[in-house]
Amino acid sequence: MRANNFASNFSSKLTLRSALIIVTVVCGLLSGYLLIFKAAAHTSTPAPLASDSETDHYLYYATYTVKEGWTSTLVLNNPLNRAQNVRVTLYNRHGEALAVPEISLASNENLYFNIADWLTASGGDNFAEGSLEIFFHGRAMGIGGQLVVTDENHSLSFDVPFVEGGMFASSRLESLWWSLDGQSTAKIFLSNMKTERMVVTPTFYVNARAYESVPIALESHESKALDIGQALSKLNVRSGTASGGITLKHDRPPGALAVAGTIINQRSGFSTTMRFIDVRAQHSTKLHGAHLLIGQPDAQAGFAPGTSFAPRVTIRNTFTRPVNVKTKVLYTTKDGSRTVKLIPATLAAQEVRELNMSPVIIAVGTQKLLDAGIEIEHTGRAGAIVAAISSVDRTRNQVFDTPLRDPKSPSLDGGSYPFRIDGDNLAVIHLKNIDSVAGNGPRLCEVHLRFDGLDYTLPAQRVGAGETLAIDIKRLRDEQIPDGSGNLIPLDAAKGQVTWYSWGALGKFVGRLAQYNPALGTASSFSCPQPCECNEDVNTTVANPTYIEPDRIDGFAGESFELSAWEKRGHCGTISKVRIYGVTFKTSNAAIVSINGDIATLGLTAGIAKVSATWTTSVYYGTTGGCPVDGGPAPAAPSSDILPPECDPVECEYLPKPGGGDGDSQVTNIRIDLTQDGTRITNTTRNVIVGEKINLATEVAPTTTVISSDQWTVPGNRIANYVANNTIGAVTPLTNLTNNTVNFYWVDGGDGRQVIYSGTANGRAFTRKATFNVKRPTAQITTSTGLVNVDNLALKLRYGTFQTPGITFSSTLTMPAGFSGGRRQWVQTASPLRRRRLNNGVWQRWTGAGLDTQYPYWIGDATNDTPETPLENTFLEVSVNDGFEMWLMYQPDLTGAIWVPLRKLTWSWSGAASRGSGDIWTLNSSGKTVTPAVDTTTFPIWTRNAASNVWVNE
Amino acid sequence: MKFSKHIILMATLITTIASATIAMTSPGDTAGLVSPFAQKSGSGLSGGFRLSARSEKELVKAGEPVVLKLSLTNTGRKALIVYETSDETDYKLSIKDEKGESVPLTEYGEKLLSSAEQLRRIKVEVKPGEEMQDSIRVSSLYRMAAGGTYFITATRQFFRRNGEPGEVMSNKVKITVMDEPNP
Repeated sequence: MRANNFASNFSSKLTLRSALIIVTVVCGLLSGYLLIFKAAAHTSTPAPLASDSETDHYLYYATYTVKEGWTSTLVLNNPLNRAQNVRVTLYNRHGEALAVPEISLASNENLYFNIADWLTASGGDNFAEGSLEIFFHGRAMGIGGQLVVTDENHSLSFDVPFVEGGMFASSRLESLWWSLDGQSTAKIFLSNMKTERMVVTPTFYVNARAYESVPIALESHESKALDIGQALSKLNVRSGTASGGITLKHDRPPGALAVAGTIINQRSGFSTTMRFIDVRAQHSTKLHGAHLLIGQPDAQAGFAPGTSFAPRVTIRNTFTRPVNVKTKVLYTTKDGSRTVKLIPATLAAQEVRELNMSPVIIAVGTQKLLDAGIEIEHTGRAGAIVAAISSVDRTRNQVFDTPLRDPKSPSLDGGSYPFRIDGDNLAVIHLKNIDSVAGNGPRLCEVHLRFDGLDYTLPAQRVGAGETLAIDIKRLRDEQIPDGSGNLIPLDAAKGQVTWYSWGALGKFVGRLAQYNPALGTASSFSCPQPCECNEDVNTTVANPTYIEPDRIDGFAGESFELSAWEKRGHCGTISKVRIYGVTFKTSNAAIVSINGDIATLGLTAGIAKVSATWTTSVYYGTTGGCPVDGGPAPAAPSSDILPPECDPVECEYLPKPGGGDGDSQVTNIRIDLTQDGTRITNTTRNVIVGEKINLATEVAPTTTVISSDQWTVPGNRIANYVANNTIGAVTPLTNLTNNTVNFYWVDGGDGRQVIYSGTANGRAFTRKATFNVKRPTAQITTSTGLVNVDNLALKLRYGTFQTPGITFSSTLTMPAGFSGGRRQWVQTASPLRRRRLNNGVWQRWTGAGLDTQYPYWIGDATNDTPETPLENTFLEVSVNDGFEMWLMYQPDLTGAIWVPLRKLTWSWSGAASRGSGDIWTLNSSGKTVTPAVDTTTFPIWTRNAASNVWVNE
Repeated sequence: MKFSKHIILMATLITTIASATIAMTSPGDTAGLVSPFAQKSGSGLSGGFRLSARSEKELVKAGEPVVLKLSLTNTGRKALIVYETSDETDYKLSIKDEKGESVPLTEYGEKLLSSAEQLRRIKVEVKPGEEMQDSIRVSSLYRMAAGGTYFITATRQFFRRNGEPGEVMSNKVKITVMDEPNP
């Protein structure tokens, strides 16, 4: 039977679940185990499936069941980048074996199997419950497997962690039970992993008093269940049994007994896992847990609105003397991290106590946590304290267990987990920095995701001491967040495998993956270690394997930049960028750029300089155990000062690498100034006058600076030029604002005008400003007018006389403070209409607008006009209807200044005369108008001269 | 070419000039009589005005512009009046060739000088000692493209403050236009 069939069958059943079922699966009975001992000889050893140079591995699960509504699911995960074969053997309660067809797992593949399908296919009716064994030949942790047992009807589940013989140092296991009420049931499943008969003796501790139970005999591969409540009842222990401790001792060598435990309440759907610890396999007096749910989760966590969690922490002293316990919770919000220390507790020998978590709940309040972790430190020997931690919601059927890890366990510093993000499934990786010394600074880890056809590697993640990092895989997909190489997770990606590594001396973490589906109410936790199968080293096959960032600095005086040294490190086929701390940076010119620690600050001197750094790199070599050496021999003389304090030299270690890393960065300190007529005016205020030529330019240093997208912003009424002569008067608008210079004239006045020059210099955005107070003279025009008349002596129809012009203009000018001088001129445009009737009766007209004869009309303070038209004896009638616009303009006494308009008025005259007898002309009608002068910034413009009009017949 | 006008205050003492006999006419009439007074070399005098004419160049190449510079100075003791319309029409030019024949107008000159319509007509009082300068591009108005020698005189009408008209004639300016040598 093909494995894929099992997987598809199981997937269809998962969707039927309605209530939250908590599944926490730890790969290995003991947290953070190491294969201290070679796997024990196995009497039913199948033939090796792979190279003889690798070892046989047997993973044993204490129980499975498909009876009475229970479903058991086995998930197999291949963390390696090569295919592997797996053999599964089922043992019924009596120890009889049922072999499952061999399973092939492709590189980095994970598969799900429903055990009931195997039984149906093989007709194994008497295998409805029992234990399970996985065999593979390869590296330690070359296959990760987890067994999940669920009762969908009662929303119950528990996980069955696997055990392997080499995980144990003694034949004694410790655990505790706890419950929220008196209706929960605690069950322990015991299975003999070997063929030889064994005897297991349980001892219960209630109120710190020991009650030894009747020994339990287990034949070859036989499995039995122990109900703690019933056992205590037989021992006549009836009070104070809501929590307690249990010790299992057996008479076989370490690793012969597989055990799993669960606490369930069928009514409420509460379920949690009991974890058993081999105290002698523990290495420290500290325990770390990644991810606690406290208060209301973030909306993106997917829980129903109003859902709120409270952590429950129960601890047991397995020691024969009292121990002191200190507990602290570190949580992170968007505003930073905070640590809450609980009241220290002293536990008597074998005492079980639930800790008061109120200080944490109060401190968190309504804050939305990014993540949280817990640390427990105790006196006494390593492993003296065992703990059970769960985050429970108010309905008590949503329970998230938090497995604890011993930070000094010679763990493999990494994990590999399958995940699903299809439908409503969510997958979140939680990585806790187990460094308890805040002064050590952040530590680094790498997270690598594999999808079908895509490798996705996040940049090395920095996590502060004690903090927990949460990475929501589905969010990475849905928000299309690129990885370090710009890869995006396809939006239809449904499942994959996540692998994480702590960066050896640069990081120390415990981690797990929380897989849950809030809509279906399912959740599980994965914490399978990732085998150390290849070296971590600076990858010299890529360009610039070591470097500093920024690789180029372009900036301006006063700006600061954080410098960082980086290595491109390869690990198991992936390349990650890793920041190196403690590097000393140097500058080639302190006047251009100064260095203070990791901060480069640009000085007042523009120019080009270089910052550089050199440092010692390290290589992470596997040496013994599950960490074979790849890629050449390890350096001979490791330096102890770079070894992480927790690093166990029997496993993997960091060693200095000859050569070291280096990098440099070119620094361009850019100065950009605005200048006016060569004088720097950046951030200054200048007083100018209308009509003054404003010559602005930029001064850029160093000269190699590339300016692009430069743009001037010049407020106010400004023009590029005004040109006028007898045939044309035109304004050139200021449109060219994208050069490094700009020349213009203001027409209107106004204070506080900010001229802005912006753009990018070597790719850096900049803005430079200068303020101008633009002054403008104020002017007045007064007019007086004459009369329209006929001059029969000169034979003219005229506006005005010799003594009194038709119209007289006088001006007064008031200069703004700080300015004097300048000139005034007058410019007049005309729209004449002159008509005459010839003696033959033909009417002719002389018309067309334009400049009035000459530019300028007059230079000076005052002027006048006495327009006229001839009266000849070849005409019968003559009429005039002329309109005019007169401008008063001003020009400052400054080089390059132009005339700008100040005031304007319109005026007109008209008259009609006819020739009578004796060639005497008579004025038949006349008129004149003049409007008050108004302030204007509109220039007089024309395209022709009105004096060039000609007479044409009408 | 731009023709600009300036009034310059003369600081020098103006010598009294013999008054001219001026025919009575309207101040606006441009058809006044030409002053009969003899001219001194370099300038003409009449009724308080002195009109000096000169050429930018005495020798010009054929096709080059011939520009006449005119300076009208009130050398009298009383202010005098002129009307300003345009440089080209405010003076009446007489241009004769070396045979004493009048040089014909260009097409532009005919059009300009044949129009009697006046829009801009500024009454300007020239005080004693003040000077007005004008510039006329003669070759635009008269056909002087052919090689030869030309004699130019300019006259301008003016008025006394009581409206009496007068006219002042400039000195005669000699200009030689040289034909381009054959290639």
